Amino acid sequence: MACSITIRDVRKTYGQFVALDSVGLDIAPGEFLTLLGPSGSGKTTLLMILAGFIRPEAGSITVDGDEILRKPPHLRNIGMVFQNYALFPHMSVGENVGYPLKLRKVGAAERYERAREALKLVQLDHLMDRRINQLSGGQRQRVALARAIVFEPQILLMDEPLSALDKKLREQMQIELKHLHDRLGMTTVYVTHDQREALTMSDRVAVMNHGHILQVAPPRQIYERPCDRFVADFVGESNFLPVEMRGGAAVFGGIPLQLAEGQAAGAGGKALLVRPEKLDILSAAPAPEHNPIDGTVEELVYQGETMLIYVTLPGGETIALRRGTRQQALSEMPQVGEPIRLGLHRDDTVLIDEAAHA
Amino acid sequence: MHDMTACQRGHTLNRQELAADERREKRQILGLSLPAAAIILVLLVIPVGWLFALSFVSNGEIGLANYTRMVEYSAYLSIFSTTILVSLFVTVLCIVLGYPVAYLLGQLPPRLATIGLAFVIVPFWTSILVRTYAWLVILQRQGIVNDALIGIGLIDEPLRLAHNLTGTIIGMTHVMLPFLVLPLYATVRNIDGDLMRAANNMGASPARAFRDVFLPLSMPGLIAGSLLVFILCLGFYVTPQILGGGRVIMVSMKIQQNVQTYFDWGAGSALGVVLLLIVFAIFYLVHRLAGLDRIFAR
Repeated sequence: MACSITIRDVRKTYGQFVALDSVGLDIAPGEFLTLLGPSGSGKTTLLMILAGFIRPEAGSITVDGDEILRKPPHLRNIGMVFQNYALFPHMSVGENVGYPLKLRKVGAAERYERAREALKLVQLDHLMDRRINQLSGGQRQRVALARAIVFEPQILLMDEPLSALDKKLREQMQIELKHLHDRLGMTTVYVTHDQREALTMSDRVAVMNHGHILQVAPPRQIYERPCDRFVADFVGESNFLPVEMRGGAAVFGGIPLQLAEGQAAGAGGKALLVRPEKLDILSAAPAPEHNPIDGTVEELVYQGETMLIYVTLPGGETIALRRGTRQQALSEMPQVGEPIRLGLHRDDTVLIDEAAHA
Repeated sequence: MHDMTACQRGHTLNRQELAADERREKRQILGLSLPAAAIILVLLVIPVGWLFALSFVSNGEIGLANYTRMVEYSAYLSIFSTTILVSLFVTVLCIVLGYPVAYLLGQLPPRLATIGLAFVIVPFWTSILVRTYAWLVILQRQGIVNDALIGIGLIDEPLRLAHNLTGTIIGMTHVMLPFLVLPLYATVRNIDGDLMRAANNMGASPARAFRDVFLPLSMPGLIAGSLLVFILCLGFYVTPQILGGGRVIMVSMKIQQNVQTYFDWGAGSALGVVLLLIVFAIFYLVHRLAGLDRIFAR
């Protein structure tokens, strides 16, 4: 029932600005794919091209093998949730949700029933007669979602649908959207600049920058094995430590690093990617599988569930690590100015090419 | 416990002083609005009241003579029906010509829209008298339009475009157009483009999306603009006087005649009062149908 989407060599420029530079992407039937990137990366442009609101200069987009690029938006049968919801203020909640069915000439009684069903999915079937301006932000978001799925499109597009909600509601909606997708199984393309949201919801994430797709992979791979420095930097928190290459070994601070399997040192400039939560504080006894990193505690920042510790290394770099704030951990926390020995487990080492996308 | 007592004490701290501040602020706001209220009283309430009183005086006697005359003489009926029909026609013409302009301006990027808006507003800065005579030059028997049409051989005899109803309506429509375009543009500009895209996305063709979404959302501006045009038309004097050539008699012209020619202030006042009542009636009707507060609150 769900469709596959194949995007080939889609290009769009605005004058000198290249919004999309020959982008290609395959999306599997029923997949939840997120386009993740900073503003201006081309993610929204690609979504708008899928919806038919922007005409690219060249390229091809097929849905189950049928070319859709030259179809006008109203014939594409693709559901979409807009960033600001785009609910019709002159219609009630029920009329909004029923509108796509009205366009498909569904009779009033069936329309009402199906609109109610769709609203039930988002737990708002009791608000059918409300005006849009009587709804809260979270409720509007749900109505927009119900309206986008009520006509059972095989593809659902979402353009930063949660960005206007506060943090708690956003996290709750992320889970709800994910469950809804699991239940309905439509191919979903989701646009966001929030890396955590992308990791939470997606089957695969496509990281975009400057009109290019840099990496397409499942969330874990995007976070644990980013393909380049931009992806590593954009997704999650990261420290980059310069490493030297000596005789096939990666050397940091004069010590050869133990690397994870598959992390070849290779040639060219490399940096070691260190995520703050992957660092351990080593006790006196050296752990054989840890790469030791010595430094001095510079600053402690208490952030509630975690504590951020900034450590200055002998080479002058500052790296951050995170620790949980259980009482025991807090009591063992080093003080500012004290020397500290950090450990990076062999399996957590990730080498990144320095040159690319600098 | 310590925090609690601090909170409770806070309930009475500075209570009188803050209440006094509040009262002083209210007095200041009231004081600021007094001059405006005084101006409205002197320039509007008193003259309209005076007009109303005058309308009941005829030949030095107090009575309804000025009003009964309007019912007795069919000439008055035809003057009122001409006025209303001309105003209606001009309003419809303004909608037909002005809606596409406002729509286009609403779609343009802000910089271009400002330039376009300037074209709508610039005629505003020219006196209505000048513009009306300009139309006379353009529309008269040996005017630009007739010369051109005869020149290209489309017609043999000059068309009667001025000194009649045609000229009146052309001139009035030109003068009134900005009054429709401006409020409509303000409304249309604020219609979120995503709403139309959303309708398209759900399967509405551009024409259908316009009918179902854009048109209803532009209604407040359209009604406000139409109301403005229609009511201004009801009292319009200069343009019908010059371009009508005496063939189009509107209420305003009859009032002028009563006052200037016959020095009959009472008769003129009565006409003014009836015109005002018609305006009130229209406002009431629109309010009942569409809700004035919704139209003008935006």
